[in-house]
Amino acid sequence: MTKKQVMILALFVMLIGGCVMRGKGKPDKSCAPMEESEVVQEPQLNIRFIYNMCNDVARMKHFYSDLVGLEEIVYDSTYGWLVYQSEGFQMMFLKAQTELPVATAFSWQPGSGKGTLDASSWGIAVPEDRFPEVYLRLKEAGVSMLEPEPQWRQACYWGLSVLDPMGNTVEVYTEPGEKPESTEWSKNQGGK
Amino acid sequence: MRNMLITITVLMIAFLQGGCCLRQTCKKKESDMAEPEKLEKKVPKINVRFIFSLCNDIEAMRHFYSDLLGMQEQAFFNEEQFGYISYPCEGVYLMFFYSGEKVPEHTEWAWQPGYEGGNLHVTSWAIEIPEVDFAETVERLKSASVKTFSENPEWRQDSYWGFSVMDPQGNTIEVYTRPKEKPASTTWSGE
Repeated sequence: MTKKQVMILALFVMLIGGCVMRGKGKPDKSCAPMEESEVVQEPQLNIRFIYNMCNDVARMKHFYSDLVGLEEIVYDSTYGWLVYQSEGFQMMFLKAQTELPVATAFSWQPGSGKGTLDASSWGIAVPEDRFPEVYLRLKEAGVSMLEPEPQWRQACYWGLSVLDPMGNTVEVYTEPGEKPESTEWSKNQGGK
Repeated sequence: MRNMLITITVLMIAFLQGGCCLRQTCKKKESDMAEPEKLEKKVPKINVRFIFSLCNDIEAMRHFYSDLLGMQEQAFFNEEQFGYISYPCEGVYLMFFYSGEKVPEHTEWAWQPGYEGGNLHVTSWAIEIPEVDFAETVERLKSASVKTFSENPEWRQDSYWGFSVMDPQGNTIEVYTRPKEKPASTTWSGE
């Protein structure tokens, strides 16, 4: 067998070797995209929707989307429909058929330990680096606040209790990666 | 003989080389697949994390949400002047508190988009039950004499079974399930 014949045969065998190994590699799912049927999950027992009535969905959208920074997935001003998705559940605001009273008092919440109203309320988590800007936006918009600036609460987070346009109490909060040097907000933010 | 040995050795090396090249290609693909995830640093979203609701009886709420609905509680505390129970769901904690003072209980049904009948404009919620557990959950709620809007679950929005009930505080809850297939009859048969 000449050298040329050996080289041609070697190339042929390389191809066969590759095919055999490719066959072995097939069951390795890390090389193949996951089939759709494999990622379908059964629904779990979970709270899926929170329904809230309001007088003006545009004002609610301004508060929650523009000031707080939630990302709406549905906004329909004609039908009065505003939806925010938070992982497995949706927070919905729906326009009421009749004008509803707007609360001016704060609901009791565990973080502040303050508030006198017995209506349901909620807490919204904000990433640490975005919290100062959210606070400033709410402050500049003249939103009603329980205290004039964020409070260091439960020795673990900054919390700011505000009222949305319907008077729902919302605690906007962030959990910093490290405990701040001062538990007075303004001293940590250079007086901003 | 010497030539034969050289030929066999070259062929064996070639065979193994062919396999190794493909292995490398495969590994490269794996790393290519993993790379975008590494690069795509997820920006934490601003999210609703807690729903707070006041109640008069933490034990009654626990019985309703844990025993009857089957929700998994994460924390429970109950003393004379303060109590709470917490249910972690996907991305949100549903928490009920007793703060030492009695709060009024709702007696009317809240307005919800899934059904016609509620007129009270207060915050309310909907809880999804896996299809396989739904009939049993309905029976537990009925056996416990929970206040229900209708005698049986209703086929709503042509897409799901909805059963509106009131928790011990009078909160309206739509307990529902979305069956994989549309039922033969849209009248609840109990199965």
